[in-house]
Amino acid sequence: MPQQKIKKYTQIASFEGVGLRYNNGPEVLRDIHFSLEPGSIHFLTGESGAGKTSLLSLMYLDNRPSRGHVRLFDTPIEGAPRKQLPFIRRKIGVVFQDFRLLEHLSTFDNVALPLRIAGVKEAEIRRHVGELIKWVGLAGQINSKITTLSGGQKQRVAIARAVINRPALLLADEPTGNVDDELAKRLLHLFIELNKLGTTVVIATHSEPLIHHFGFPRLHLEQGRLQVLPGVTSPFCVNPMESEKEE
Amino acid sequence: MLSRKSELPFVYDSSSLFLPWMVMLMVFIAILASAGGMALNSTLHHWNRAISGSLTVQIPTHDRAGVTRGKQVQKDIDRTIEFLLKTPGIEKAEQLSKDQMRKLMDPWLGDLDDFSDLPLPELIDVTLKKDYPVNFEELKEKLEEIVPSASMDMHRVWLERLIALAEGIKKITTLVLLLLILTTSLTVIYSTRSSLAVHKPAIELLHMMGAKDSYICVQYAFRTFRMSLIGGLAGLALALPVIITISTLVAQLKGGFITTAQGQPFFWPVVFSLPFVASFLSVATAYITVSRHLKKFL
Ligand SMILES: Nc1ncnc2c1ncn2[C@@H]1O[C@H](COP(=O)(O)OP(=O)(O)OP(=O)(O)O)[C@@H](O)[C@H]1O
Ligand SMILES: [Mg+2]
Repeated sequence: MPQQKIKKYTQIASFEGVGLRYNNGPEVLRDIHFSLEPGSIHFLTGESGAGKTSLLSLMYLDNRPSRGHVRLFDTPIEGAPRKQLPFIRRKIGVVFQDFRLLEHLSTFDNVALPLRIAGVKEAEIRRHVGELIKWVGLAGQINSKITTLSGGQKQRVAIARAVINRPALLLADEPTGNVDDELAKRLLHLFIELNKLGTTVVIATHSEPLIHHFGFPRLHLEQGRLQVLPGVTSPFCVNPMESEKEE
Repeated sequence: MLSRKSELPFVYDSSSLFLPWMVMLMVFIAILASAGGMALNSTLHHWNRAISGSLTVQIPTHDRAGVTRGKQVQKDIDRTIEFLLKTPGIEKAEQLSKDQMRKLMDPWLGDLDDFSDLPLPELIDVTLKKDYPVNFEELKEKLEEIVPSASMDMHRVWLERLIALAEGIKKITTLVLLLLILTTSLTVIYSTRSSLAVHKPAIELLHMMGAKDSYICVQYAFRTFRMSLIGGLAGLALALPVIITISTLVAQLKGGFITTAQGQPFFWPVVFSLPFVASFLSVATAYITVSRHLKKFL
């Protein structure tokens, strides 16, 4: 992956009294208060419709809060000029619940997209993209159109696209909903690898086995409110940055 | 960028099919209009030069029955010139030489060398003082009283009407061109807007991956450039045989009473640059449309 340097921030994301409503509907998120420390990794849990995707969308700047304050990389989002947003967004990798792949393009072009947008040279793109596609097990489909891929394969393309840029913040919305447990674990290990290199990670999931297996701390949504639940000790929850801080 | 597939699947938006046709039509009409305009211009120039004076007086050399009028002709000429020179507002009045006559008749008679056999009248070319009002009707009446055989042609009157007509046609041509540019711009705006609507999810995605507005604008600029250039070149291909055919037909009229545009130094450069000018206009319009539209996105 291209060696994009991750700067030091005091907080990757912070929410203060955030509420979100769609149009004039009820508030789907209420009084959200939390912050993501650099290098942390969390599960985001809550039943269907609890607002997981909504919460993530506030972080990947698809929605703005109806009230309260959101800061990303120590920058308040309300005040940020439109021109600055692309540069904030380039630090964020997103795995969308519905993938949002460009169906008319190949696996390769989809994964290469964030690098092209960032203006990385084609030769470098070819190298990194090929490597990562192999890693997620799609070497055989590298030139296939997205429409010809299975659900699980699409999901892996979406994951590869989200991590290709080695983002400072990775937001994954149900990233393993379409693959079997073994592959799910393998893909989560990719996130853990990234996390070890300094990426802050949030993974929305329903999967109890994954939550138990990895035992990361949880951001839990219930009736629009957010609770932070501590993680259980697990061999995967080694986080150099966080443990440094705690010392 | 050109070699790579666009991230926005333009192939799927039907609105894009419309644009090349529109640009083709615009370039086609624009080429014909500018060819027409230039031909008209040089014809006007030609006409203005053809008759230096503004009036001609004809003295017939033969009477109605076709018998020569002999010495009477020169007498009439002298009396006419004498009368005219006394009239206020007239600067010059001279009889046209055989050479001048030939030049003047060239458009109608072609390369006929000797036309002394033809019962052509003698002509007196009259130059009026600039800006001096002359009552033509009165002048004509007086002249015909003194020299009954003389007849006065009021070139200025009909030529001025013709020139006014031609100027009018030029204005209309310009107006048509402006309308065409307007229509094409509107087509570009419409086609770009509907394409933006069709590709909204993809555009949002590009934004979310950190694309600047210009990244998306450039994709639209290339899309528009490709389509309008195809249209423009097709328009040129259609227009070329038409102007060549028309000018060949006009050239067959000979004599240059009506001239063609090809002789004008700027004609071919203008014709060949029109498809590119049209493409450039479309691209600029598309770029501005997209750029303004994207400001509404988060
Ligand atoms: N674009 C939208 N317009 C209006 N209402 C919306 C929109 N998106 C989500 N909602 C509503 O917001 C609430 C939370 O939706 P959200 O998608 O965030 O839930 P989720 O936790 O991601 O659910 P799931 O686990 O099923 O993906 C739901 O009640 C939903 O109906
Ligand atoms: Mg969701």
